[in-house]
Amino acid sequence: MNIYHSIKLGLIDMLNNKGRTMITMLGIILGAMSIIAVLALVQGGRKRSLQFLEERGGVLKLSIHPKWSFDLETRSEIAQKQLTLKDMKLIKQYFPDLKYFSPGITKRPTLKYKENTFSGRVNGIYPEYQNAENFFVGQGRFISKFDNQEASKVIVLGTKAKEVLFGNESALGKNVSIENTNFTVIGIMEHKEMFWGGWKHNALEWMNRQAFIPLNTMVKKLYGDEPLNSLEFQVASTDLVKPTQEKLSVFLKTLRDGKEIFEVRANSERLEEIEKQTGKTQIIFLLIGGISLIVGGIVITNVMLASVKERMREIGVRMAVGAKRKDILIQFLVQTLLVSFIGGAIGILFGLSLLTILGKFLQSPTAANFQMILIAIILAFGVGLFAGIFPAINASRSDPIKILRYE
Amino acid sequence: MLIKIENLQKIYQMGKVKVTALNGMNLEIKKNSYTAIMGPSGSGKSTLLHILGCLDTPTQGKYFLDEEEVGGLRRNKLAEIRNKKIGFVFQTFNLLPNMNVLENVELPLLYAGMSKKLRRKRAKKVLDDVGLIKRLKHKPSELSGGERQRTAIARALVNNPAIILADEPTGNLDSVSGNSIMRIFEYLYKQGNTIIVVTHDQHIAQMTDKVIKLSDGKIVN
Ligand SMILES: Nc1ncnc2c1ncn2[C@@H]1O[C@H](COP(=O)(O)OP(=O)(O)OP(=O)(O)O)[C@@H](O)[C@H]1O
Ligand SMILES: [Mg+2]
Repeated sequence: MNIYHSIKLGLIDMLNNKGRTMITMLGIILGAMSIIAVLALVQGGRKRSLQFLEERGGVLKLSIHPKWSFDLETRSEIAQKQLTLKDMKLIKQYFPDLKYFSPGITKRPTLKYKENTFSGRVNGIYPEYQNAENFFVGQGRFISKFDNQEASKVIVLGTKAKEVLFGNESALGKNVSIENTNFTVIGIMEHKEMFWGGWKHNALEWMNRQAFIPLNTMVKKLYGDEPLNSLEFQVASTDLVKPTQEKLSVFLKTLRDGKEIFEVRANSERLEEIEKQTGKTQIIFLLIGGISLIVGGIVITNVMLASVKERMREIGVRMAVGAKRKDILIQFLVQTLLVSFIGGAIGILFGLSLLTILGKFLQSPTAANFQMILIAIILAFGVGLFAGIFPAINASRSDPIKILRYE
Repeated sequence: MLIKIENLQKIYQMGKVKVTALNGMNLEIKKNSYTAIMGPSGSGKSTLLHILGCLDTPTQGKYFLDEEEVGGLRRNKLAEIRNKKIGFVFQTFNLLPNMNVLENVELPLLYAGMSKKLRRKRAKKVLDDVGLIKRLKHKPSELSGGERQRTAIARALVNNPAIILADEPTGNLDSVSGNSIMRIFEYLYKQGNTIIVVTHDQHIAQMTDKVIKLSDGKIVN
């Protein structure tokens, strides 16, 4: 007897017992559905996190920050030994492979244009800032090496700062004043935005609320010699992140007489965290999906056992006219596989539609892909095989004469 | 000889009690013969027929079908013999309720691995022989008792069996349908088939060319 016939028989039996079929499929449908939905949501979240990381300078970025301490005395010591441009020169000298050195001093003055005022971060930076931060000018031009050398009074505005000061007016070439000094607007940064699940709030809005002037201008024309708030740079490739991080820590310690004033952070640490988090949530939810599949499997086994019992006479008749054990085995196994396969397919369809709804509702990204669908189908099929083999063996073991003698 | 049995015994073990259904039986049946098996209830008629039909196996003794010893064969081999050489007609028809007449009759050919086209052709031929060519798409529940039994006979005939076995084929039918069934058997016999029929009915026994009487698991005539 061929498989095609078994499939036909299975379908006929399923149609003849619609209610039973639905109940049998329920666990598989739920299981496949949750697996698809969860995998896609979690992967979507991961994608979003990676994107966020990329927006924040990418995985090659390293940065030096003052270490945090609970102890007041240590804290004041740390404050006195802040990073300077001199330190940066030394680092540059000893670590020639690092690029896009971007020192920064951040102040919060008030910017004025006519009657409009705006309070936000003003960063004194080097031209390398764009590449180090992965944040580029959108209109006009960014601060140049020349601007920095000459301590020119030029400024680049974030989109929000521009909007508050100028509204719809064009800003390029106009003057903004900071601490009574006039700066010429030479560029507007690109607009940054990212929305996390459900939130209307732009997670990157703070970046748009910044303004940039040359570091030298900030030191020479505004605030005098100040320590750096941050120093960022990039390594050449991902495998250099860890070693550079370690070497730099040691180097900075020697620069400060063996005291641990600074810590070196790597963006890629965030990446590891994201992957770990993704893995964890994924496993937890896969477990839930897996449990419903197993429960679904148990239901299938029981329903099939009952069905075998109910169809004993049919089995007896088939055997009487020549069905072998393997024919009966295949017939019932194929039926279970059919149930789990169709259930799995329905579950995947439900899962995908659930995703579209959830994705819209939560405004969270989803990343369903073929691989996940394959995983769900294989799992559903595996459960079907597992759940069906016992009832099928049971059916094939029946003795035709015992069945047929029993009226 | 088509069938030859030697010292056949069938003993059922029920806990501690042994029930001897067949008690040392010897029998020979020729090709193209028509045999009736008679005897009181519990005398072992069905048991004998089931063994002859390879549905059951003897506890002791030998059974040769077509010169082949089949008494001690394995289940799969027995299934194959049932499929190729035996046509069995039950008192209670034993049709599959979810399948129509044509599909029921095709069933043995399906397990024989015959192609769909040939199955159709062959099944229609035998259904024509038993007068059911106008009932192909009917489900068993949509047939009369006599029509059901004719379907079962068609199913028994469809694989061109060496022997047709029928266990009280008219037992569940009224006398008119019963008579039409017996006319079919007579016709089949005249076509060259070998038929063994278990019956309580004296009239039916008269139509056969040999009557075997059983009592307490033994042949008594
Ligand atoms: N599976 C079984 N277990 C135990 N005893 C059995 C079994 N099957 C049949 N028997 C016994 O074997 C004996 C013969 O039974 P069988 O069915 O062959 O009788 P029969 O001649 O066909 O009777 P009837 O005319 O009523 O159909 C009976 O005594 C019956 O009780
Ligand atoms: Mg009987």
